[in-house]
Amino acid sequence: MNTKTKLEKIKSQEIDIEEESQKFLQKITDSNINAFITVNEKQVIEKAKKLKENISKQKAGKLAGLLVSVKDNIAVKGIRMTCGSKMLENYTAPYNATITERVLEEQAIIIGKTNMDEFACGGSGETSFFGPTLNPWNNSRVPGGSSSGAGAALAAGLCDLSIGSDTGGSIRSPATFCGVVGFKPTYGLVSRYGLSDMTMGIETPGPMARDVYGAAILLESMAGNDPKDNVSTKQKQFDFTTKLDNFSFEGKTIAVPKEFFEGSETTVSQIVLDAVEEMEDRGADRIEISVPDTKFCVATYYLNMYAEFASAMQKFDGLKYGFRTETDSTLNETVSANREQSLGKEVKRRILFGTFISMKEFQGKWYSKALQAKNIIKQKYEKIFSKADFMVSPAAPFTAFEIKEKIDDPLAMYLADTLVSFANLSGIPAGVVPFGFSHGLPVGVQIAGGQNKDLEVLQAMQTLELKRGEIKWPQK
Amino acid sequence: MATKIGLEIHVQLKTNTKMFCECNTNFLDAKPNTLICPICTAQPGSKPMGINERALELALKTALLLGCKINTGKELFVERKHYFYPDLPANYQRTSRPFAVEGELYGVRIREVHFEEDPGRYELRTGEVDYNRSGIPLIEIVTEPDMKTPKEARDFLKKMKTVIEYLDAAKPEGGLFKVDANISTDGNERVEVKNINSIKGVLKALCFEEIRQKNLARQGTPIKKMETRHFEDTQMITTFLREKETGDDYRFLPDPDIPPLEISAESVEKLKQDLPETPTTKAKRLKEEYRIPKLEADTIASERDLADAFEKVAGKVNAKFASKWFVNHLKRELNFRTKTFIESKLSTKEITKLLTALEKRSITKHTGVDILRKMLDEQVSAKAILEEHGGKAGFDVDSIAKEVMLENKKAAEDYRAGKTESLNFLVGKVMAKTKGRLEPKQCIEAVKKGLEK
Ligand SMILES: [Zn+2]
Repeated sequence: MNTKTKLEKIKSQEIDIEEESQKFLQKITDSNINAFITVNEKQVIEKAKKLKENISKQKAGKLAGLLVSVKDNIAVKGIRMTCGSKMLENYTAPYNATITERVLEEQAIIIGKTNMDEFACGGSGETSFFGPTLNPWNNSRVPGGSSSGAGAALAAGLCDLSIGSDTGGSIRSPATFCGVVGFKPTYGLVSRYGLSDMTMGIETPGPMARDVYGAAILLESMAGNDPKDNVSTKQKQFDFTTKLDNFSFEGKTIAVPKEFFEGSETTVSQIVLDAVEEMEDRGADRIEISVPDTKFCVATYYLNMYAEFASAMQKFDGLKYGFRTETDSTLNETVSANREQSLGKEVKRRILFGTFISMKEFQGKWYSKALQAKNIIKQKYEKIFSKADFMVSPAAPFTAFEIKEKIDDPLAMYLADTLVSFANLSGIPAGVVPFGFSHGLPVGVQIAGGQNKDLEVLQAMQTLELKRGEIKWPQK
Repeated sequence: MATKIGLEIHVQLKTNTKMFCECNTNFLDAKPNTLICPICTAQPGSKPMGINERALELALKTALLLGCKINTGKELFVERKHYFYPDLPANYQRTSRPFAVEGELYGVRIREVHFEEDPGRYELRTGEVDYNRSGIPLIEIVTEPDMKTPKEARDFLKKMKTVIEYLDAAKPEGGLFKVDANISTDGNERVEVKNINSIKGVLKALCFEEIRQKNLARQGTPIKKMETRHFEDTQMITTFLREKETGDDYRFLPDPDIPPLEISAESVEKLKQDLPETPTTKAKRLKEEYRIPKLEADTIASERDLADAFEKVAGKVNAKFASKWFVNHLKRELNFRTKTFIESKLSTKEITKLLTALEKRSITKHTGVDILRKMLDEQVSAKAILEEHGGKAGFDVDSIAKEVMLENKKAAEDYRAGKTESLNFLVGKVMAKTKGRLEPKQCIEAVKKGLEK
């Protein structure tokens, strides 16, 4: 059942939300994919009961009765927020992220907090302290990351919608690996207040769903100005649903970046090119373009990320909150021990790099250059989108790979980053919609648009979705 | 070699809310950790809100009063200064790039001014942290090493204090100042003394440090490496904290959550129109407007509230007379009690009453001072004291004269008979009875009046 139909059936009380919630909770209990870190069991049923009583009496919210999962780096008041780390294993968020607040206002039911790569450091869902999430399509495969649980939970039918976050493809990677819709909005469209920091200058929360409508209505609920986020858009409200169908590729220009296809597996490239052809069939013009040097992009991405991540992680000392080891050594030694014993390998590696490149002697050399480079990339993409409406490419060079296959091969993962990080560096919207399968594993198509063209990108995604037809979801 | 002293002065700005969140700043009466939110305690995911506009306005105005040039038309980043300390919730402190440079106040050059957020308060003994102060806006004023003696540093700070008081920019409960003082003398490397919380403390710390450094130089063991020392308030000494490494690395990083600030030339012009008087301009105006001597005007202007009181009183009694009295009596009595005018809790209404009585000569100068002291020390109102004094000594001088006349009938008759010396005798008696609280002239008149009857 698609999201739109489900919402209608909830409002007309054809669907009993209490029963539905119980069904989902049971599915989570039965599932073996480790998609959730915390399940909000008691509150889900309470909330569902309350909503059920009132749904006929009052005007229903946009997300009334939908079961929404929240990535575990986003604050939900009174619920544990671990960021996938031992450091925060027992940390309870004392406040709501702005987006949490907003989806609750729209009467969503937060079903739980989804698994993720530790502090979003990873693209496969394998670095979580709470163990890897498994891909529902094939349990020996990774679900992608870092919003690993968010993508997997949707594919496995453990929730209706997922809130993820995308710093360098963290929504789009699990979307393509799990065969779901993932959308990274324009930087500033969705408030970051309450999203644990990773690379503050480029990251954003975003919606994930089984269909484009689901992503659009979740985005609509979350988007808009937030005085608690300085980079937030000035506009108060957005509409991404009423005009979602009102779209044609006629007269649109599709840019196809040849470099993004070069490193990708043939089957993956082929599915994406099929999508391009479909767009052309519907009247779009296609142009071949060359994107800014991908090596340059990925270096820029890593330098920005390392420096900002090291700074962001500074607050985790285990003194105010978080993991604290038993010791009677000096303050500095205690902090070191707390961090040493509770942070994972990849997190430590990134902090180390970040600390190194933000040291005084390297400051001018690395971080400030990285910021300049980010600007150059942004300008280059502005130029591309002055000529084209959309850029279409794979979201990953391959389909979901075997667990542990690439965990010790950071270079292979970096390659994957090249296909997604451009949108973060330039702040533009980019979404992934599943469009085919290769050896039983889903392949998504990535559509990017210019600044603030979020609606247009969603419209293009939905057009492909209609062409593709229903997905036969994995049954477990 | 001469002593060189430079100061870094931290001033807590007087705002209702914190620098990057909406928490209240009245930490004085608050229980620990009640004025906090996810932002000022660095909860995972929290972000700074925009820069507090009131704080920025006060910061800019202070810099303007210090004669600084404002860095307009440039991107000014708020940076993160990273170091681990329990009072710093994020383990980095947000601190702006200098927004003002090249100022001067009373011959001391101001190198730069920037704003920062205050850390919380870490209780070393209990290991507890109170974050009520965390995020309160501060400015740091950095001087060039232009002061040559500890006394010069103290005098400069006193003047700086007056300027800031004039603007009403600082939170008085923050102790107004926190100072880090840099001093080098006799070929010693520079020493930074941290944690000085009062002007007197600055003097003590610098005196101690100057003598210590001179001794080291004399012994042939001067300080070779820059060091940081801690001021021990109770003992008035400085103790070694750590060597200042050249590699003290705070990994400054422009805060990605705060878009760079840009101050426009127009907004600075607007602020300039809105600047209050400085002690200097106020003294000049008082001198011209009230035709009082420069020295008196300077003294009165040295305290904003004192000057305000003077202007109120000067509208009711003779200004020149009031000025003299403010300087010769009021200010002196305040100094004697090391109180500011505000702390004295004197009201201008009361002062006016007192000065009116003095002007009308219904009381003597001597009595006036007595009354002022009572007002200061016993918090009694001028009116009450005046009535008391008046009843016995002032307004009933006629009946006292009558009394004297009755007691000294012979002298009175002698006078009436033309023996003028008797008058002096009678006046002396009256003055003795009024304990010198009345002017001789008043006594003579009273006696004459009594004799005529
Ligand atoms: Zn706060």
